Amino acid sequence: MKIAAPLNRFHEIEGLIKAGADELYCGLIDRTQWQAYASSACLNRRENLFSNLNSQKELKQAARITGENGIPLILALNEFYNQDQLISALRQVEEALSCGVDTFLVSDLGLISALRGKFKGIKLYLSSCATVFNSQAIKLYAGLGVTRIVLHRHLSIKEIASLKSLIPGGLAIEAFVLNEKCFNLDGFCSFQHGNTGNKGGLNFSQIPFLIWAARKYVGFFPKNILQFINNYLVSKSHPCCYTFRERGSSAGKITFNTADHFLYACGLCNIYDFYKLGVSHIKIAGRSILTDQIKNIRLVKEITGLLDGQIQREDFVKIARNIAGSAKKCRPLHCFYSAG
Amino acid sequence: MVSNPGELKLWQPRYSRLYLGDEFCNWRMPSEAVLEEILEFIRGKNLVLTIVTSFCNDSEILNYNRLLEKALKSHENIELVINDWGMLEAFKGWPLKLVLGRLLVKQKRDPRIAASIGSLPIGAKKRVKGIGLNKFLLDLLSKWNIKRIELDNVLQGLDLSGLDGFNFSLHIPFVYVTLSRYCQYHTKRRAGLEFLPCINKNCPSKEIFNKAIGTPVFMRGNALFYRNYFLPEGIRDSKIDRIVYTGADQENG
Repeated sequence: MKIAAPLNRFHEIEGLIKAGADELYCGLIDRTQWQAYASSACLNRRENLFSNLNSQKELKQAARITGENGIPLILALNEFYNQDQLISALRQVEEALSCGVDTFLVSDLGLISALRGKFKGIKLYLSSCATVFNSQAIKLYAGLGVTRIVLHRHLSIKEIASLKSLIPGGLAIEAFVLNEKCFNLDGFCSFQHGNTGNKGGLNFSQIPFLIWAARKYVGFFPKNILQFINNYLVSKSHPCCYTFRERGSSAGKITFNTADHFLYACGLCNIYDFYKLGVSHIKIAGRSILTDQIKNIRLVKEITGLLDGQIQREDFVKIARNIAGSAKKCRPLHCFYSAG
Repeated sequence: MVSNPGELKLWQPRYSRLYLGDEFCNWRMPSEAVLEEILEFIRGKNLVLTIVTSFCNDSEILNYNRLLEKALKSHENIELVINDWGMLEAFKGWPLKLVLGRLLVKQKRDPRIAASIGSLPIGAKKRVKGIGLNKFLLDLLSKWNIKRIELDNVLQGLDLSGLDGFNFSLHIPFVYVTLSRYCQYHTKRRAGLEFLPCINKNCPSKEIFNKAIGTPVFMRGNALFYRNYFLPEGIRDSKIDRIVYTGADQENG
């Protein structure tokens, strides 16, 4: 099983590769896009600058480094576009191809159709934002040239097994572990994660740059402050983390998500199930948060290393929990696949 | 729009079409018995029927298969609102008029947008007022014989320019914002212990508030909505030729 990890900031690339990522995925928001759409309508599902590479130069260098290490780099274009955005997305594909990136994570049927007609030899992977819950939808996308399906994080293991039994054998399947578990259905959710209305001034998305700069030039950034910023970042910029009050009820408070769900989501035990089901890729989520992805990759690498065909599920889960013990608290709320 | 015969008491003679089903919750698919009652109702009133479907798994598609076979035996001219591309794949050859549902129309529905739209750059402004469909997707819709698109009456206003060749339905007053596959009402969930699947198909409706959202949010079943009673300016001259009143369903649980 291969590990796909997010590349959010260019300077992290070598660490991610060394840690054992088999492929990297990233988004790109350059100056032109930021000026056109700010954080309200970007070309991938992560609207913040810190979740994306920020220039074609960075993309080119990333493609060169991954290429030298024999690792595919996947560009996320997993939003839904109006005509103007589609033109921007196609331009970004052309730029990516010129940089040597030929694999794209997509969700818009219009974009898939356009890419299929315009560019030969590119690879299209279907993002979880395409909200695929049945084999008929997979058939439709496969007919349009998609060769890998990233399963939605709301699917249970039983549903994944059922889907896997119904879809064509040639399709690769990718499933999520770690980070960014959300109560709402990605792909059907209209909440804006970005700081809507911002035209480019200081906003949440720039906090990570401050942290990075502090680490680079001062040498460290206190962990508890990082944690605070992380929580603040998620809980203030993601409206799905807001707490609501019920009308006509003194005690009625409703919180759909907390920053916890985004920061500590797991699913590592289910790597065993994925292995048995023939899931080809494990996707480490986490483009919208600040987390140590190097540690995450090492963790997943060590746990996938337990899979040798002989190990029983019970033993696997026990060892996996031991390995992850210090890093992840085991709680159903944090488990992607707690529904079974 | 109704999802069960009990809601027919809110029927008014000025309505010309009945929407049956639920766009957001796959647990609220009408049973065959409900469908029969509704078919009987529309037969008596000489109405036309639109069956609304949600996102679904393979076994739910099979259930829709049975429902639609039954409906088509006694009625022609049935519309099917699809909210899952798998439903399109499953039913594109059937004698049904396919309609693109709200879940597949990627409007920007965050209620905060209306307050911040003035400060957005032009590209973003165009996107948040538009419906997120591009020429290539529209070409595919035409190829699949989809001629109608369902829309939400978003607070920031609608821009339907460049969308020739399609008819539009506008849902009022509830604008959908988000939805989940998890249950909002489960006590364990409320205590922050676990995300759990649906336990009750007749979930109550609740109005909830958060200052940062700015407008009251309406929670029903697995989805969140906000209200907008004001029709878009110039609607009479626009491509919107149908208003779908969804209030009965949501307000009365």
